[in-house]
Amino acid sequence: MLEGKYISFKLGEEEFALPILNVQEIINPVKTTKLPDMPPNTIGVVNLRGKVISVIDLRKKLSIASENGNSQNKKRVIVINMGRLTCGGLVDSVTGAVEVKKEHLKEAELVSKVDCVQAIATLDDDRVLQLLDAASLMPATDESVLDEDVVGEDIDEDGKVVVSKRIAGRGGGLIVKEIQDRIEDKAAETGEDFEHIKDIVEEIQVLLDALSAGDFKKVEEIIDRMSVLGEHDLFSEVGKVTRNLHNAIKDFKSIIDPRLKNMALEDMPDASDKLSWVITKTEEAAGKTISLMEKNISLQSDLIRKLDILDDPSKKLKKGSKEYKESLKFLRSSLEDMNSDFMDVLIAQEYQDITGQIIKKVIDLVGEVEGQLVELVKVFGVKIEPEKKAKCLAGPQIKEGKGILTSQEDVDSLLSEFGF
Amino acid sequence: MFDNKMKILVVDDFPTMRRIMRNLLKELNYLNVVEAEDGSAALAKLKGEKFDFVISDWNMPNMSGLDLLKSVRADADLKGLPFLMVTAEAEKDNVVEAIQAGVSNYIVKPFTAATLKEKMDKVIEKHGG
Repeated sequence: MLEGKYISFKLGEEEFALPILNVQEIINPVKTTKLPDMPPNTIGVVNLRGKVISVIDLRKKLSIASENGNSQNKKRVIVINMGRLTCGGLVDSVTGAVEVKKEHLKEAELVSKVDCVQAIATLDDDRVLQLLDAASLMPATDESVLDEDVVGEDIDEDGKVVVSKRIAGRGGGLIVKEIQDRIEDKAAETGEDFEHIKDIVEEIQVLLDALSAGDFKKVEEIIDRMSVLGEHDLFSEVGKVTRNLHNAIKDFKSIIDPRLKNMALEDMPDASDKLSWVITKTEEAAGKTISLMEKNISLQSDLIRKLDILDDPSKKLKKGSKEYKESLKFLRSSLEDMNSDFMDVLIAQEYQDITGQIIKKVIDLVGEVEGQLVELVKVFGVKIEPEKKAKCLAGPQIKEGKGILTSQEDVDSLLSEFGF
Repeated sequence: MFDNKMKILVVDDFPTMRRIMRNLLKELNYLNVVEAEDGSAALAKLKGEKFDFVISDWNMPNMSGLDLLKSVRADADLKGLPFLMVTAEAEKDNVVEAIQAGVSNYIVKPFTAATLKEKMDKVIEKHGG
């Protein structure tokens, strides 16, 4: 990097050189305008064809003792260019253009205590040149940043600050700092978060440093990183969606847990078992009742037959006769049997107590399931169209409604319409 | 053929209901009663022996009363059989469907012995008994 063409110049007895690529032109000293608060090494500013540049005293900058009687007419101002930054450097005299080769170079830190000096070159003719770093010579206050076309900012319709600026400077640090301050001001003003813009601006500084150092591999890396930063909005949108989804799933879980799980895993099968038990119980009771009734219906015909015997005038049974007594005895014991059977029938109805409780519990469960399902539908916020009911038998009708025939009379009137 | 000796097939999946029906029929002096627990069992019995009357529930597993009715009406040997539907299905559409399938009459559960007698007599009368 260091080898190449240089412009060499003198400051006192020492000879220095600047890369020819950083030298825009060499002009005669002109009258400078002094500005308040100028850095100590700066002589003033001059207007170079419409562009205001600082002129710095390189003797002071490089800590070289003040001149003592050197010819004023050899003095020149070297216009130094670094990116878009330009400044003038006052030198005692310009000695010409030189070619610095690799073998001329020595590491600067071994020989120089001035950090502007990158290296020392000993030329073939034994001249010793201190190779200067153009960037380090640039004044801390860069007057060119005052140019309107260089710095600009705008607020777009979304209220976001768009900093449009042609970045230049010593590694860009100065301008980057300025932009960041503005972003912070704007953020404080609008209450918005511009952190990601600041990140990008920071990356720009590193990018500029890398560019000026010629580290193109790093430049590529930074551009890759910045393009990721530029996708901030996309990432944050994806992030929001993900968060919403996560919350929705959490809400969903909090609504269905834990009752619905219990209902599905335990209560419902339990309810099914209990309802099956109800069927068994009612069937048992019905069976028992029917059996007792069947027995008593046939007993009834026996009783009637016995009564017929007792009542038969043709037989003229005497009260004390054997047949009379037996018939009476049969009637009595039959009535006792009937009484006991009727009590059994009565007791057989006790199933109603237990089955009633069970059915009530199942009804509660069904109600609860209904509530949970309604909650689920609410969570989804979906309007669910009831599906056309699959064709199935409605079973016993317990509520009156359209198309429901509640009594045999209704059915009969319908039947008569069909000619029954 | 429609006397008290006529053979009646009672089709219902609930044994209690079959017993009640059997007792009601006994009360009406119909003692020749055979039971079947669903439509397919009933159809098998109808094809195996001669019956004079069918009293069937509608809602049953395997084969419903309506399907049984349709099968009976589609069978050359059975199509004239009196078929009384006794069911809890009381929607108008159900009744119309049964009528269209060729039901002889329709009783809605719960029913009384008087209704059963009246409907049976009507069916018997209609079938020329």
